[in-house]
Formats: sequence, C-alpha cells, structure tokens
Amino acid sequence: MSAANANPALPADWRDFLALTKPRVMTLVVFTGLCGMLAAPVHIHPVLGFTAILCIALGAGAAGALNQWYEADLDAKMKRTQGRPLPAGRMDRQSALHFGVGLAVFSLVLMYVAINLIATVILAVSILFYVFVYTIWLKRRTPQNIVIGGAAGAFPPLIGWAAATGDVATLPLLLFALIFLWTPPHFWALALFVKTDYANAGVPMLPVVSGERTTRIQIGLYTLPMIAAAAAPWPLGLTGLAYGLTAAVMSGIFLAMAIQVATRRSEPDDRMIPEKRLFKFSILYLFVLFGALVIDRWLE
Amino acid sequence: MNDSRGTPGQGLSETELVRSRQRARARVMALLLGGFVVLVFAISIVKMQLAHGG
Repeated sequence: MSAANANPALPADWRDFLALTKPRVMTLVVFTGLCGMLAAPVHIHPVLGFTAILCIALGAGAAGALNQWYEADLDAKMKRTQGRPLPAGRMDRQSALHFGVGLAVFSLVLMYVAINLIATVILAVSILFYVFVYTIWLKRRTPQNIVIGGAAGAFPPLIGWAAATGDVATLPLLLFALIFLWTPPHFWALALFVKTDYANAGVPMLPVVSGERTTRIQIGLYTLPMIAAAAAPWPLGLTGLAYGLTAAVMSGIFLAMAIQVATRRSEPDDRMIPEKRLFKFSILYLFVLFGALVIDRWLE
Repeated sequence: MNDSRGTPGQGLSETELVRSRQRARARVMALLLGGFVVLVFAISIVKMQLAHGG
C-alpha cells in the first residue's frame, strides 16, 4: 500500500483499521497468551478459551491503535512506520482514537462477561500500561522506555493463565518476568540497526542517548537475568525435562549471540548482521520456549 | 502490493470510491457482527452447561 490513497475526505478502508491493531505484534501476544492458558493445570472449555484469546487479541489491537493515534507525528518521521494509516494520511486521528477506545472497552466487557474478573483486570492493566505508561509517559522521555514499558507485553501469559484458573501463580509470574527481561535485548538489538530512524524522530532510545557501546553492554547484561527467568521453572519443579532442555539449549544460543553483539563494535557502513540475527532469533526464542512449555505440559 | 482500494485517479470517481469503501466496511461489519452473535450464543450454551455441571 502507499500514500497514494491519502485523501482526508475519504472514509478509511477497513484494512487500515486492521493495520492500526499491529497484527504482527499481536501474533506474539496471542501466542504467549494461548501458551499461558494451555500451561495452566486447569482445563478451560474450548469456546471460553477461544473467547479469552480473542479478548487478549482485541485488547492488544486496541493498545496498538491508541499507540498509533498518539504517535502519528513520530511515526511520520520514521521510515519503518511512515506507511502506517495515520502518517500516510489514509485515516483521521479521531477515527483511530474512537476505534482504539471502542475496541478496548469491547475486549474488557467481553472478557468480564465470558471469563472472569481477574483476567479482565490484568487485561485492563496491560492496555492502560501500554498506552499511558509506555506510549504517553515514557517513550519520548527516557531511554528506559522499553525496559519499563516492556511490562505491557509481558501480561498475556498471565491473562491466559488467569482466564483458565481464575488465579495467578508462580509459573505465569516467571513467564511475565521472562518476557519483561527479554524485551530490552530484543528492542535494543533492533534499535542498534535502526538508530538513525529513532534519532531523526527524537525518540530517546538507548543507542541514541547513551551510544552504541553502552547499548551493547546492556544487551549482554539483560540477557543474564532473562536466561535465569527462562530456566527457573524447571529447577523449581514447575515444568518437566522437555521444557528444561529446550530452555537450556535456546538460552545458550541466545547468550552466545548476545555476547557477540555485546563485544563487537560497528564499522562505518556496517551491515549489523549479528544485531539483526539476534533480533530475529529473539523472536524465535520466545516462540520456541512457550511452545516447549505447552508440549511439556502435554507430556506430563 | 495488490490493492483493490482504488484512488480517484484510477478511473473511479470520488463518489464511487466513497461508496465502494462504505460498502466494503459495511460488509466487514456485518461479518463481524454475525460472528459476535454466534460467539455470544456459544458462550451462553457453554455457561449453561457448566452451571448444570455438564
């Protein structure tokens, strides 16, 4: 799609509303939420399980839409985001705001009516955290934006678990910690190779504010507690061998890649291959770990 | 990307384009509402079953 469609008099296309929900980000949110639900020791009826996952997806979509509503000016300055519906002029801001708020309210009401109060409260906190704490408060103010803001993306396994059990336990809290600690190395690897984009937009990402060297060290440092959170469920007796071995192997690879990124220095016209590799692997890492968690539960 | 949204410059008048977008949005909305009705029906049945220990 291109900005060729830009015409403020035209009603936005339905695909632009879909794009507002950041479907690609939603994939990981839905997957971790589903795994949190399937890892729970309680069976949830498939219809209710589907509804809970739908609510998580809609809540994430609402947060994405409100994020794009607030950051339209910022998105217009970055190559990666300037094709989005608002900066490209294919939709007016008010429509995005109404869509985001409507979707958020709808997801919460449906979660409450169909599932339970705890899952609804955690979903509400995750939406509010992403919009108010990350998007509005932290993103433009501090290089710690994605460290604290990363909590918003860590809620789905908790919500999935709470939807199934009506409660919160140690395992979903460890899964929360895993995603929370995974977010900095994941985003800083990305920020290293799109640094110019962030700098042009005035977003105080760590490489822009503190430089590449500090960012690389921080990637290495955050990887260590992340690995501890990934491995912890096994020695604590919360998962079996299948998860434990998968976590050990995947975390070993992650650590090796993070050390490579932490110890190198980019050259002029550097293609940033290790950083791009770490970024891609970090996504696979979460998918495999959460997948292993579910398989482990089925093997029990 | 193959985009069927069209622009006034692609042979569609602005009115036609507005109408085609409204139609497309109405169709998607109808589908979503239909899906929602089915979902609410399914949730109600499941809740009744669970309430009766089924």
